[in-house]
Amino acid sequence: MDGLPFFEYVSLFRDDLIFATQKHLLVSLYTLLIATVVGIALGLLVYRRASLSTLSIGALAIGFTIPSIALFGLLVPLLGTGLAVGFPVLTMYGLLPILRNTIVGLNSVDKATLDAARGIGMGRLRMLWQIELPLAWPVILTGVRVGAQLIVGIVVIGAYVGVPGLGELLFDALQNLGAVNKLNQALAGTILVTLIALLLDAAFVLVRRYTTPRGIRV
Amino acid sequence: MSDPAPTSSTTTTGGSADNSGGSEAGGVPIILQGVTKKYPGTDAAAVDNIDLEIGAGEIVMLVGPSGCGKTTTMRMVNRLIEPTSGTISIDGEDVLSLNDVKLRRTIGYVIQQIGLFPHLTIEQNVAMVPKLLGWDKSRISTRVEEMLAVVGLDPHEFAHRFPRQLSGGQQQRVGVARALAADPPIMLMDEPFGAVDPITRTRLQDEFLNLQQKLRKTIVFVTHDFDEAVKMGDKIAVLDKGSRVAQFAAPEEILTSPADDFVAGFVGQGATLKRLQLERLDSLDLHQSSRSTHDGVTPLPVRSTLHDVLDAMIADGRDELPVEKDGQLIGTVTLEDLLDRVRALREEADGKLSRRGDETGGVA
Repeated sequence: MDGLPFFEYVSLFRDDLIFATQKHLLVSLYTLLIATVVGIALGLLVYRRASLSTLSIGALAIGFTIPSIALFGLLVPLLGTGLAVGFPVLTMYGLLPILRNTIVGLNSVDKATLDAARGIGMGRLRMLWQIELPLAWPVILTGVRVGAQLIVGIVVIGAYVGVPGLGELLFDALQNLGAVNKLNQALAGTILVTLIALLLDAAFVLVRRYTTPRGIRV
Repeated sequence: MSDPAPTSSTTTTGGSADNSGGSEAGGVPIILQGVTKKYPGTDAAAVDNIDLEIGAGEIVMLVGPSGCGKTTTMRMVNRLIEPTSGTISIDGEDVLSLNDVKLRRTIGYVIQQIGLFPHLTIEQNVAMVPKLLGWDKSRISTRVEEMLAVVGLDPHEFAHRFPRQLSGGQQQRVGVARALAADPPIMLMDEPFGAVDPITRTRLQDEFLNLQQKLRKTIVFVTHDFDEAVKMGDKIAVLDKGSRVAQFAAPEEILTSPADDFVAGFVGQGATLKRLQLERLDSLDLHQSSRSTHDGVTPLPVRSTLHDVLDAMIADGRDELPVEKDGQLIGTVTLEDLLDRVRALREEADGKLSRRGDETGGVA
């Protein structure tokens, strides 16, 4: 049961750990990118209509309650395993907070500001691009940040149906706990997932700082 | 529609594109004919068949209780609200035939909540409409500096600040500068000074009136404050439910001869005192003063309103006060002068009233 000391384990299996981390990061970033594009686009489509906004936000809240493992289980028979099921499911979970925050952010732009914008002769698209999106941006970006955290976590669970990433290490370690070095493997996997999450979060703090218009920075 | 605009109307349509510093475009007339706004699912029209002729260069105050449709009426002029029926023409041109977005660029717009763009600097806020109109950069920056100075904000101090760094009064100055930036012939103002404290409000009102003396824009000004209407308006339209025009006349006339009980109720108590706010000392013949000093009594500036004069008399317990112009004593005014003036105003009003009574068959 005793394997190597943790740091010896890490240096010995360095390449495996890095490879798993790379896979995890890439799967997370790609799905986050798609979720961001789709989430903001859907948000732009629905936010102007109160009924659609309420409906989408309600649907999203329900979406949040479905455990990811159940959704993976349901969709494997339809889509197969690995990235085939991983991509759509991860994108969907990432989408939830991004779409919700896009709707909420755009709807929380001060009505008087919009009235003034319209009143001085800004067209719909110009208002959206120059006034509404910049003002809603911090809220939308927070949605993307939450989406990123969600995706990084669910990629781990996705390993259960063959989604590549650090989850592969973790599941393997948990199934064979007691075998040589499996505790080290679980520990290393956990630490690396946490690191990815923290790094992404730090990245968002920076992005937020440099993309929030100066006049509305708090 | 057929009215020829008295001042410079030819330069104004299309955002007065050749204004390059100094020469401002004056106002153009606005005519509303049978304008109605009915929202689906409601029985009563929000605005019911209103007719209003607003002359070039006039400030017309739309005043009335909340829900009377005054804001709706104003917002139909720049088509933020589309009329259900009726026609609105600006300088003889039917606004419904124009592109609504482009139309709004030629009409200044100021609202109570100000609505500055919080993520843009003061400079960028004021530059917005000129930018929409495609002015070149150097012309825009000259104009922005000019407009900030016009509304009493030092361009060097304020141009690069953000709205949240300004007080409410300063923000509304920027709001006015933004509305005036492209030199529109028309301004729509919806309770523009309603959200600032009374002292700032008075100052903004005074400064705006001074500005208007020079600019001569056509201004539609919505307020629920009758005193503000009296102070600011060349004409006042007192509106009842559904934008029914209860009376459309100069403030003096509304104060001295309200058309009906609704208007009288709106004018409220103290109509005579309010009337005195519209008269200034320079309209009276002053008495030549024999004395050169008035032992400790501060002389009144000749631009004071009779209301201020009366107030000073009561406060000082005197019935005669000295008057100065540019620091020189130019005479005295007595309580008797004020009473004479009030009597004269009343006779004038009675004359008008009986004349109108003859025409229309009796007004209260």
